[in-house]
Amino acid sequence: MGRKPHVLTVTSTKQKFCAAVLAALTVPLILSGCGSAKADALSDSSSQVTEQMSAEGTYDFAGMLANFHATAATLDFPDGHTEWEPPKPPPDVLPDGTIREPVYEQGFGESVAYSYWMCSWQREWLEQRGTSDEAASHALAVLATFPDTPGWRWWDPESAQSHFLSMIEKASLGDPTEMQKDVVFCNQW
Amino acid sequence: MRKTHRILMIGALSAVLTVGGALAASATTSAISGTTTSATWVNYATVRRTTQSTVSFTPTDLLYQGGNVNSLQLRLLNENGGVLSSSKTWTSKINQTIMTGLSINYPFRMSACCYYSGSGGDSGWAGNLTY
Repeated sequence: MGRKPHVLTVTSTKQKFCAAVLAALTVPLILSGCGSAKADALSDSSSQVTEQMSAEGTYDFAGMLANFHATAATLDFPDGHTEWEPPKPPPDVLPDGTIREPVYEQGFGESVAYSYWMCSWQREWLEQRGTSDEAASHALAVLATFPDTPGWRWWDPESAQSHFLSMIEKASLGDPTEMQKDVVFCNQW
Repeated sequence: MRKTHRILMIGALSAVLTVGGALAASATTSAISGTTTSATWVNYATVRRTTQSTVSFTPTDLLYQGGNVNSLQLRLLNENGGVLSSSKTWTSKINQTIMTGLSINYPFRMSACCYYSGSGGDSGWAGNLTY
């Protein structure tokens, strides 16, 4: 997927983020997440001007749901998290009575699974903070691995990736305000 | 350092900070494009975050619908895939607001419709999304 030129700025933000997280946490898991490979990949895509969203090989709701569950099965969730799956949206009914079901870009289920995973660990960090330092550190360390997961490519660099990196950087420095604001948007899970 | 130099430096620093602040507060505009070969809504996987309360779109390429008609419908989805906004239809390349009243950093996805399955139907659309 192509990205706009100022992806380079995002890369720079990520490098600062990695430095801040590494300074705050000494978790090997994070060390593996701040290498240069991701930065190189982002830089390589920076010559593309537009972002292409593809409907090649779309799947129906069942296919999207299978993609969601296949992805979720590979992810670790906090103990006691609530099981969830995307609800089937109501179909469009055209004036002539035709029922029109949406289709999904391949990767949609994966992207939703990572959104759910992220919200689960955000909640965990906020709940454990002040209660269990070990559990809170673990939650933040897991969240900090997100840029090195397959799901990261579905986060818009200009808005979603930069927001996430800023939020985690602040959290790693002990500032929960961005995470507290952001977890409000998790109410859909 | 002479007083005049100090004043000039403070002035220059203030200007830099002011411009930087204005840039930080500006909306995000992305040149986006999509393909669809389906006569129904295509839900795209990318998650975006609002940097302002309004999401708007200016198309540069609509979907051919037969005859002299070109059109495109867009709507916003919640991060969990549920429908967030009502749909907006374009038949010309004008800017239209898709949704207002969103919180800053609200996560959303895009959904587009519809491919024309008749003769000459094209699968590509494009434009500038401001959010």
